[in-house]
Amino acid sequence: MDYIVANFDRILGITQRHLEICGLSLLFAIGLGIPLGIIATRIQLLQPLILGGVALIYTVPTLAMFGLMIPFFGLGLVPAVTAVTLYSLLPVVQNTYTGIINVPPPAREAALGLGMSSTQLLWRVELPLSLVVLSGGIRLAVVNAIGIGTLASLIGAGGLGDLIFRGISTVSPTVVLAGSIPVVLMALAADFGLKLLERTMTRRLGLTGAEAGN
Amino acid sequence: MTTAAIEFKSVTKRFPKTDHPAVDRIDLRIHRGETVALIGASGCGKTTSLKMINRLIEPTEGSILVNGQDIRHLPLLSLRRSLGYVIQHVGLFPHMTVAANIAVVPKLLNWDKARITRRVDELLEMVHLPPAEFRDRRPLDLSGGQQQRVGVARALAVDPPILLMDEPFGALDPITRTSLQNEILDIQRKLRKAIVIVTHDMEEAVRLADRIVVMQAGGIVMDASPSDILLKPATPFVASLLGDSRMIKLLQTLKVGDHATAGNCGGAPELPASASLHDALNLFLETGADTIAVRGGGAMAACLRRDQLFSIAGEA
Amino acid sequence: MSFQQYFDIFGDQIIRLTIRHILLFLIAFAAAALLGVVMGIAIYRVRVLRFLLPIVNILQTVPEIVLLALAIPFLGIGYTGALVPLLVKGILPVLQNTAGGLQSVRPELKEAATGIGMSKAQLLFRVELPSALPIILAGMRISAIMLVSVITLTAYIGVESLGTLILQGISRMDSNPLIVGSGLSALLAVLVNQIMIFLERRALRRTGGRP
Repeated sequence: MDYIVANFDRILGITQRHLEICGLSLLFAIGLGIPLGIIATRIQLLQPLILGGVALIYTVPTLAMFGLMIPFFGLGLVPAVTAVTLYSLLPVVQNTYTGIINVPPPAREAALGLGMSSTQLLWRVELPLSLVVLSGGIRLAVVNAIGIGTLASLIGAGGLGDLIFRGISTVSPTVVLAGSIPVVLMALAADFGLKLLERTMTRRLGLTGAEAGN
Repeated sequence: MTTAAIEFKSVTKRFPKTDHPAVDRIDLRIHRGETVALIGASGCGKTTSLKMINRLIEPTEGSILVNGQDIRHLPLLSLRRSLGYVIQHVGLFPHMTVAANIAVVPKLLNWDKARITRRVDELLEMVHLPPAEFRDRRPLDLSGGQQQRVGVARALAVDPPILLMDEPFGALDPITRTSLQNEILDIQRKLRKAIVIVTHDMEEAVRLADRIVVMQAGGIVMDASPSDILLKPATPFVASLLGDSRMIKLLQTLKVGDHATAGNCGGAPELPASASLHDALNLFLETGADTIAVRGGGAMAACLRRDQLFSIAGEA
Repeated sequence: MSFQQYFDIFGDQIIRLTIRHILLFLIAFAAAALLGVVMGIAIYRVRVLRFLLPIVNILQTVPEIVLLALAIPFLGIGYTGALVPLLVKGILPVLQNTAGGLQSVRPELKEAATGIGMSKAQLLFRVELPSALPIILAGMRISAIMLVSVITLTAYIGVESLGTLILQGISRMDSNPLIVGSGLSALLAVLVNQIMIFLERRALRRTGGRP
């Protein structure tokens, strides 16, 4: 406990670094993943390529992924963010795709029949209706990224992994805890907060109608 | 000859990997103020024909004209926005309020806000959903019947001259269906649109349509007024569409004597007062007469006119 | 050192580590699958145990390296230290999908089975488990991919696996072991994933596509 109190400012700084790595990666993953998911719904030919590709990336062991970054990008922030981004793509792409595909066919038919263009259909009907599923994917990506971000330390990008790995090699449980507690707390907070957001969104979007009689 | 609201010119649709065309060289003219029902068994091409009008499906051969213009030469989106469209599964957007659903097309056309609000309330009144109560509700909180009322209002939002309806009431219970059918009759009396309604329900066709187009295996087997369809079914298939309907069963239970009106119709084919209206229907069919003389219904001579029988059938 | 030279000198080590990795995986996976299914059945059958499900959810958000690090003070390094993250990450997906899969078996099916006089055990083995199989297998696939990944990571506390090569590569900044270790472990994960997908599809066909 003394260690944590004494080094509180440093831990805070390291936590901030951790959040930078994860935040950047998530921005890229969302910015890249949503368009990829949309493309998969629009271009039949690319669908297996995109969905299969991100799933394949996701199966690569985390340590292997970070290791593979070094020959290409060396050490530091760039390879770390690239690795975390690659892992975060799957839930974002997959849920964007699932969300749009599961839009009720009558809503899509009505939208087209009433004269919406493909873009209007996407913005006014498909994306709003897949928002809840999409944010479920983003939640998974965030929770994953916070955990996987710990390995960024191995390739010299810093973050809370610094404390965890140092704690392991110096056999000091307090240092391990100093790194682990913020990681777990952030992951749980993100999970809880985003679930809450999903629930509010479901309600606000009116997707929880009670069955009314005639 | 006036320009038809909708005209099919030898239209064929072949879907890939099928042996027979879904729609086979059909010709059809639909005029303003006219309600035309496309009826037939599933797979007969009726829905395909409807969806070719708003180009959700493209014809393989032939052309379709709307107000005299080939639809291929009209901008796709403005064509669709000028055709009201109602589908069986309603297809309301669950994330939008009732008002926002109705306002979809006006918004696409950039109407100003005040005009949209006014129009939404007007339409809600028209389909008998009090605006104050329904404007801000969500589709999933409404009953099936209320949802389809909103669907009809949405289709009429920019007052399109043509209304396309694809089995609009097929998923509703009989009572709700009847009340919505009355709504459509009412709207049509006021607005005089060209309405095309796809249905597999002969009673609905008889109730709503001025003309019934019976389709089978992609072709039109009969295109006639409801009374002619009832009285002179062109083929055994058309007769079979009538066969098991509730309307026919009802006609079988009603007595001619109860529906005849006093008058003298000497020379007309005769039926006893105890005969059923279905017998009368058959007699009209056999003789082609417009009137039947009813015997034995008391002292007064009585007659049954063809249109009388027909209006009873329509209300069944 | 060229790749060829590296391979000539360390070929034996690479093969040894690969075999170790696979063996470790097979043992861990067998244990996790078995324990996961048994615990899943227990949670499904014994209602009092349902309070465990939210805890399972929380545990799953804990990163494997944190589990690994936290176990060391109690279990030391090496195989015993690796046990906690391996079991947690291996068992939980199976447990969750077993309990969930059993719960989603259509009630008519269970009613019919009980109606024709099946005992509780017969119901479980002849109706419930076979119907839930596709979902259980999906959980096992997640578990298997996790395990390949966690085993790689346990190299950090001295459990020899392909991860050992990756760590060597990182600490010596030598891309030969890095690429061999990463490549082989990634290949193994992809292979395991494909096998599990194949099994899932077969199970799905047998249950007619729905649990």
